[in-house]
Amino acid sequence: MEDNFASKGGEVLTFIVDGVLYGIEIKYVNEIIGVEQITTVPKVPEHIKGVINIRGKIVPIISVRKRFGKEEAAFDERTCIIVLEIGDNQVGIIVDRVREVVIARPSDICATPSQSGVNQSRYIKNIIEDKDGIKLLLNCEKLIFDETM
Amino acid sequence: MRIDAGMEQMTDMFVFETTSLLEQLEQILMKTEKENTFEDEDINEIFRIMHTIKGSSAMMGLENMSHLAHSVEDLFYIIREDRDVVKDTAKLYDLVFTASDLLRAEIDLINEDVPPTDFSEVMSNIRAYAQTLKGGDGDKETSKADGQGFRGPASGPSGMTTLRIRFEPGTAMIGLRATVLINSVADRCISINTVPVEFDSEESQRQMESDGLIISFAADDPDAVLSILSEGTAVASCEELNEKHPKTSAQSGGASKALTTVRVMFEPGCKMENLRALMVINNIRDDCKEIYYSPENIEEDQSSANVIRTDGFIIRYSSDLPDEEILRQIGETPSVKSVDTVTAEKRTETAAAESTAADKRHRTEHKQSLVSVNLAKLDQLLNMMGEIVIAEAMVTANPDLKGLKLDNFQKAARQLRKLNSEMQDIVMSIRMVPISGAFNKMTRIVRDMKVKLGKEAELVFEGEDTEVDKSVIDNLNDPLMHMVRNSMDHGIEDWQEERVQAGKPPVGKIVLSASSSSGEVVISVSDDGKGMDPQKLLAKAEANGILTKPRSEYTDKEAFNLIMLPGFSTNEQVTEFSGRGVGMDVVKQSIEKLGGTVSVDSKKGKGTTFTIKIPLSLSIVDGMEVSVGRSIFTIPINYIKESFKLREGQLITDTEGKEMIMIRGECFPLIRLSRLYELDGGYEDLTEGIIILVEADGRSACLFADELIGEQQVVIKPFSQLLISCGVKQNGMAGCSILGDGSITIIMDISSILADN
Repeated sequence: MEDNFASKGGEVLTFIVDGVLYGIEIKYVNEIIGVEQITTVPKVPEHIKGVINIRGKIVPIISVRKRFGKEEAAFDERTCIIVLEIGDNQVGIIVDRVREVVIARPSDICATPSQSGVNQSRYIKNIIEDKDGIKLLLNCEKLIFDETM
Repeated sequence: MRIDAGMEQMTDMFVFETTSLLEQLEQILMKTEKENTFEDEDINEIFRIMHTIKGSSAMMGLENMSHLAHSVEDLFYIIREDRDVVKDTAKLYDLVFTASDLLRAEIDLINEDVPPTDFSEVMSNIRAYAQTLKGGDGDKETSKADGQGFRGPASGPSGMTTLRIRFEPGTAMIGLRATVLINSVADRCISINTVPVEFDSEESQRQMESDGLIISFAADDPDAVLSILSEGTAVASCEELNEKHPKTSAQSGGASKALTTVRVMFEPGCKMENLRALMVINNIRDDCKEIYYSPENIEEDQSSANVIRTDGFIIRYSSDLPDEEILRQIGETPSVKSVDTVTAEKRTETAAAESTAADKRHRTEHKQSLVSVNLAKLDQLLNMMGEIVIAEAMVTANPDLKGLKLDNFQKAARQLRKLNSEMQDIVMSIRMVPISGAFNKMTRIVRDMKVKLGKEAELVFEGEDTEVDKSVIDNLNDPLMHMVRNSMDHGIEDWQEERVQAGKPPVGKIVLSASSSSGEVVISVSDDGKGMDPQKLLAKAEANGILTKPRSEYTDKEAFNLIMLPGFSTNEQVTEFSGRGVGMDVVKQSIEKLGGTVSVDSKKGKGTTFTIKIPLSLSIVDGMEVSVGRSIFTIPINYIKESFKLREGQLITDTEGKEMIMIRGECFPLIRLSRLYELDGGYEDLTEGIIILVEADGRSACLFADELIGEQQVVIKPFSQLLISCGVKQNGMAGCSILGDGSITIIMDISSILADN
């Protein structure tokens, strides 16, 4: 799948977390909703904020800030939840704000330097660089399911 | 195996139908093997099943299955003609069981991309066996060549007796009398044909008056039939026609001259009528001499489906088989709604076949009152029902309504609540299926084990009508199988002498029983075998190092339950069926997955009983909501014994700081939910909150929560995979649910909490 995206490009939803622009392949995105009341689930890792009710479905919510080891910010009117669907699982991720949907052309996509010392590279699949600047394309599966923190 | 293009949509239907047919077949075989007799009905049924499988698998392009079914069909054709040819019944059962197993296995492979299995060996076995039957049959000509199929009865009249009956002159209502007469012998005959074919028209009555009634029949005991016929009311004479009366074959002969025309209508909305029509044709093609149909180009021309949908599918055929047989075959093709004869001189079914026809009618009616539904749709329906229950609460308990006095609204809301709860009952009941299906599968296992282990045992069912949620049944097969195997292998004594010495009947007995009580189904598997010795079990467990406390502290009951621990196997010898050290622990696990419990009881020398208790339905529970800090938890109500406020002096704290509560002279450990779930904001002072005494699996404890909120039915929603991978299940949470106000509650897993604390 990685190769596929790198060679073909595709639509990417971009969002900002802690001042950094990230992207996520649009095929994973189900919807974007505002932050509503999150029910906490006891005894789960810190980045799992809890569960919310989306039209009768119970969807776990992950804080991207916590996931990346950053400080939690207070929710404001621009904070929102991007609901992703990966396989059979729906998961929501809390981001500071959503920007736009851009089309990434293959020529804009670069691979991540594998020996990068950056803490985030584990979750980064590709780097997209176009005229607007640099976006870090997230690896959804790893972002959500990777156990190692 | 590859399914022909265009047939994919029918695969589901095919798999479903063939599987249920095979199941039916197995049941018949089990029954007949047990009773050691073949009723005509059974033979016909097996014949019919094989015929249908042959037809439908040919339609799906599964030649190998079709041929295998064909060979079994041929076999039963011979048996149908003359039951006495079967000498070696054991061999017969083996062959048919093997064939049935192979077909079933092949169906499992249907969506896999593997080449079709080669059944030629089994088929040649079956053919060889058929040959020996025919050999024993002597001069009876039943078949031209193997694999060619057999002709209808008219071409090979083995044991057909033909009679001419004359009624007393001046008999009134001759048609009626003929009907009565034929009905009186119909159940003794394998097949029966008459001239005239029907008795009601004036013409036929005149014919009977002048030529008499000609009956041609095949029966096991022709003499008995003969005597019944000759003693019939108003029968003047009954002469046997040695020479086949030219008119006896009138039915088939006549039919071949004037083709029979039938109109087949399909179930509305069944789609792909053209292919279904093709299936009909394939079904009867083998039995017809000539066959024409309209519209003609059904295989390629998709638009023919529309024509068939509106005008029906017209088949013109001639056959050696009686019309009702062909009609029956057509009628049994999936999705066929009705079959009507449309010739000018409309053929009514002969009175002779009336009993079978009535039977068939009965069966079709029965069929039409049942619908098979995709389980996924039922799941959806149940989910939707859950949503409605929640939505109802959202409306009727809406915070905006607080403090308003709305009489009419309340009235309407009550009505809604009542209707919803009725609907919920119905939705739940749709999913309920009798447990007999799961039980019946066990007969087969017992049978196979009887043969392999050389033990004698009978399997008895009790309460097999008990209904259980479909999803529960599906998960029940494996545990049941393990338990039955266990009873068969370890329970029942190896030698009958042992049983006789112990004063027991030589044949062992395994009882499968089911009953339901207050939201739970209790299923038990008990045998009257040698029972278990707690001391032996303990010794074994000790040797395997799975004891958790000193051996002397174990009660007998605890000792028996040891066999359900992983890594425990009492049999020194590993047999094919059980004793590999897996088995009973698997049972325990899968039952617990269903939210149920298993317990074992045994008396040495008397037998062993496994008892399973599982909730009737997995998805909706009555729950008590309790709050802890800002969180709301649901405790399934059936675990709650009582709840109360703590009084002075009830609390005991031991030297390690463990809190316990004394109730009526008994001491229970106290579990603070806020500490169990590591939550902030709950009450610390025990007298402020509420104590709930819960019990599960014989363990009890007191839970401490802030407040009881109220009782509500909740729909259990499983946790998402992400949360499960974080270990929520290990932390005493069973699932979550949505409350009336849209907020989420977590359902507590009381038995795991009690087991861990």
